[in-house]
Amino acid sequence: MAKEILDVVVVGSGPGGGIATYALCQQGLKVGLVEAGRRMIPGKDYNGHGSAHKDWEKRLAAGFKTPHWKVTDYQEKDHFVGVGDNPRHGLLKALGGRSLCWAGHTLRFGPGDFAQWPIGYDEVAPYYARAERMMGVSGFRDGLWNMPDGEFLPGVPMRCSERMLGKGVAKLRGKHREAAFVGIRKAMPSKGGAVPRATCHFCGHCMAGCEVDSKYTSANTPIPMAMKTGRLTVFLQSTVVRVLMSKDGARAEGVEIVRADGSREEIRCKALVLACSTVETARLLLAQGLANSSGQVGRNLTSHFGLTVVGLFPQVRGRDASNDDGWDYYHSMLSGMYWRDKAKKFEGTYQVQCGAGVHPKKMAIKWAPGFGESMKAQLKDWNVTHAGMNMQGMLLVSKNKFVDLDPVKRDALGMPLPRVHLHYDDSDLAMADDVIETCEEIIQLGGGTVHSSPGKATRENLVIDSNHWVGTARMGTDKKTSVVDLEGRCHDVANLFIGDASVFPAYPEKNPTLTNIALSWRMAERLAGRARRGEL
Amino acid sequence: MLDRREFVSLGALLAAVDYVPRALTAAEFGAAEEFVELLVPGAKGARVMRYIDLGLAHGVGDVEAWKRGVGEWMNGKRPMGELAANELSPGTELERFFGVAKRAAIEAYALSEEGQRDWLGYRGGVHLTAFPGCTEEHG
Repeated sequence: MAKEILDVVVVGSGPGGGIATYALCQQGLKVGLVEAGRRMIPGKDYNGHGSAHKDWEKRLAAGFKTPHWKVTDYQEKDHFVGVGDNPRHGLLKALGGRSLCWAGHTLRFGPGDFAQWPIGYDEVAPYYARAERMMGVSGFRDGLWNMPDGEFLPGVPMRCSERMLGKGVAKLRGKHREAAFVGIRKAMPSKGGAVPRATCHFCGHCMAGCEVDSKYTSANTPIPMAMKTGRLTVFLQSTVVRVLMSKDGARAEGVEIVRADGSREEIRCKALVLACSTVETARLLLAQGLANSSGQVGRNLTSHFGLTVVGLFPQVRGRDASNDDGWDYYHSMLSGMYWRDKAKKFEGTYQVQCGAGVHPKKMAIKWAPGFGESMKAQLKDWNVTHAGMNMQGMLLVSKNKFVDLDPVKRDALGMPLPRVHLHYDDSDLAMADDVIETCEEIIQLGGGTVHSSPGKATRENLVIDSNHWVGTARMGTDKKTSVVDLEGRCHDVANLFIGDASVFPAYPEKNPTLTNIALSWRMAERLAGRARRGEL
Repeated sequence: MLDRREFVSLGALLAAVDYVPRALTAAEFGAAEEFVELLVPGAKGARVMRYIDLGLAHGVGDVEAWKRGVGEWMNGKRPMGELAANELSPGTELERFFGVAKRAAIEAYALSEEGQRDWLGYRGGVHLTAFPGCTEEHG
């Protein structure tokens, strides 16, 4: 009997792949989901509720160097080659991918952001709304024009020092600077019954992995929903090593996978969705020279980058600091910078994620001068009264940032390793200097003092966000300058679709996951429409 | 049946064998425990040196730096105030060790139940039905 040809194979089960899988199954298609990792068990494979001292010996014996059982323990190492200014590339091989270790920050891009895209905000907004309902997003309605409100569950309030920053931002606005200070929005249900997951219990372990599965992940929401349709086959611990192409190279016919035991299999399909992450999708395409008549695969790479400024607010001294856990560190953010009045010294804009409070497992301030009881008292006081401001800036798209393949180094399966090239441009440095100056000013306007600051941005003290890469297979109408069309379909291969953030044609300062999910959902529906019309 | 004196002696014996150092010698461990307690009072009760020594035995931290530093301390103790005065520009082995031990001790103490409770006043890590945020007014 001939082997079954699936309607669609989706490669990668992270935010984009997970939602595409659900949307395709829900539209009646038979789908195969290929994931290189295994299924992790929240609470067992990762659990931040344990005792650092009691677990320490077991952790060390297991080869870990840090005290808590975190999902990030399982991130890949030695899986890429970095070139330039200390690039990093996060990769978690597990069902759900990096949706397991995201912070949950869920922000809509706004009309101003989409002005640089070939599709508008109104086109994506319905998918934002659907995604927010499924994800269970909690937040406050702030009325910002370029970070529109969504369908929110009740928001979670700020801590005391964050409110002091808010006072500083209000005074900054009084000096005619465009700025807003708002609560963070997270895919973490603050109210029971809204989504079929546990309500958040505010333990603050979000990024380390939510051990009660309250945080939205592909593994706990869309993939189980897709399974319920009876139309999904999941291939775990299966790494795609090759896209199977038709003899004329015009169509994708499936993928070749290698399982954990080394055995190989070909999975055939009528359409293929790659959702392996910005770097890994580019790697797979480059390895076979696919969908790259434009030469743009791997180009237009961008992410967010930043640095941290910390302030102290003596006004909040003596507050109740017995439980600052909440929603992980960041409960607030500086937004709205340079949305209308563009900066003169750099291109783009930034947001600043802000946090505060005493978090013994990851204290924000770990050093004070001296020793003994006075040193302990000083250190506690600083942690109680501090607020941290973490820049998230748009990295300028330029020829200095791209992904290609290492000509020599290969992984265990013989695939060439991706090289991530990052060289900060002068505009990036100028933006970071602006952030430093602005954060210091906000702290002082809020009645605080600057505790620590880089003072001046350098290529050495900037930190790239390893999980926010986008842009290596960008969307566009012109096949000479873009990789996919407005549906997410490759210009060069009619039944090859991209379902991750590599298709972003431009990148604002906002966190990418919600837009990744909304776009992938939209792509999957377009794909399903083609299937219904017999166009696959 | 143990009498009181035997019971106390047994307790002391059990405490002594409760942890056998893995990276440092018993003498080094004892001296390090004394040094760390001066740096971070409460560290001994929180078994901070056990945490540090286990880490050192598994490549967390520089075991040779600890051995050198503890050796210097055992050979000639100096007032902690003197060491602290040169903290930002240490010139001697013991001054360098002051910084190394202090960073490790703060980390380990903050991670201990005793440090969290007695020093930081932390009562988190529990299930809340709502997070109150800041409930106080500040100027």
